[in-house]
Amino acid sequence: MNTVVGIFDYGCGNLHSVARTCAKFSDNIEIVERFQQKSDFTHIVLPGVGSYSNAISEIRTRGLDQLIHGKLNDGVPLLGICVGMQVLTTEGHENSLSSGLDLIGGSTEMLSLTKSDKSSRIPNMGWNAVIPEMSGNENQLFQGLENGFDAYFAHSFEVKPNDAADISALSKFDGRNLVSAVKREHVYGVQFHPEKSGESGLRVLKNFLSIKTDN
Amino acid sequence: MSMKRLIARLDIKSQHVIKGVQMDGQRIVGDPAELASKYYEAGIDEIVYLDTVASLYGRENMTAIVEQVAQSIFVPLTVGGGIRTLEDARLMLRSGADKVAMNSAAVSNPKLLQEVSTTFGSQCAVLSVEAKRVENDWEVFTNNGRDRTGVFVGKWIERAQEFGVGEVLITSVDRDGTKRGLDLGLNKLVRNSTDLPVIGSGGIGSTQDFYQALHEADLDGVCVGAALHNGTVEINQIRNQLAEFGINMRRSR
Repeated sequence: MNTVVGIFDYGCGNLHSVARTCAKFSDNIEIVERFQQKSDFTHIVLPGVGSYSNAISEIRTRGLDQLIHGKLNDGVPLLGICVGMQVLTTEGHENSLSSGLDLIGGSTEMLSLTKSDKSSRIPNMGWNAVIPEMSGNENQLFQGLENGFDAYFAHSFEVKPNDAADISALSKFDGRNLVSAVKREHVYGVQFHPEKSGESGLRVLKNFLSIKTDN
Repeated sequence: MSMKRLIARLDIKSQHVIKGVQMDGQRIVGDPAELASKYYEAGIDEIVYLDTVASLYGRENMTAIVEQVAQSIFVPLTVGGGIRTLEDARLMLRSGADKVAMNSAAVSNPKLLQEVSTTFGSQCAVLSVEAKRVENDWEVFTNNGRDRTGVFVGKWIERAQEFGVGEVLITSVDRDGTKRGLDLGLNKLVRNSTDLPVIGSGGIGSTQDFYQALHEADLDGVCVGAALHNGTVEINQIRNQLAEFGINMRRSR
């Protein structure tokens, strides 16, 4: 089956590097800037840098939330990256509270440091090991990757799911666990940047684009 | 637990990667896209391009380079030199950069740091500082190490971090291209001035230099230029040696 990858553009920075990377695995990349009636995406990617509140308000202003909910009902898989993962949660706590897409029950909160590991900083910038929490059958995203593959992170907020069953990978931050990936049905999210995580990251994107529509 | 980063620094002049000593006497060492791809294939953690000319022509030239290289490298790319406005930053990010490094314009207009960090997130706003030893302190220089500012490094970093930057890139102009090791005093000063991630640059010539920078000065990453271009050090070898010394390094590709 031919893939058609919708990269959702809500005006935040780095979607072109995500688009270029997905183009390695799909001939049909569409940059989607606002709601459209006719769309034949087989996959949705929600890239992300910037802030939760800016991201979610732009997503709503552009009607992309409607498109996302509609496509998810059709069984189209979605991958949220970094802030794109954070906006999947119920709410984000920045300076003020903003409501998210509520596809993953839980909240997005600022990282905090107790300095129990002196190598951790805010923002959390750099490479960290990712330990998948689900078996390969449950989560195709990390198939073929070693347990504890290294990925590139750049974030100041973290996702805290209500239901531990939604956690698909963990990493270490400040001597404790950090949720580095989530999954609920065909909604996937990664806190790291697969488009910037070398060959391991390419494999994550390739795996995502080989997930079939869930009818 | 964040790993320490090995970063390739490519100084750009027109279509070439150049390297001088103390930011002077530059010689051509190769092609920007070719060298970036080569270092990516060899397992570099990150790449930094710094435009040494930073003119209008330089900016157009840089976006073309960034667009080309973003097709073939899949690690973070920082671009600096000539980022004077929010639009300059946007242009670089749209071309494929992940972070923009700001030095001269940030000194004359610190609000630029704030504009970039609030618009695109602090993770892509890098404060670049070029420093020279002056008497018993380090002074901030601009325009590729040419112009004095009268501002001192510790004070400047404390002030600049209030504007929401996500990372500090500190370059010792005195050590640039010398392969005599990082200026540890300078790097320790910066480490003690901020809790942000700090990347050191200028003077790396051996694995021992990396070790001192990452361990003694507790930097989060180190840039290497001259020693990498001329083959004095090799990425895998540094990585393996540092891991043997107990430094937490990226292992998988």
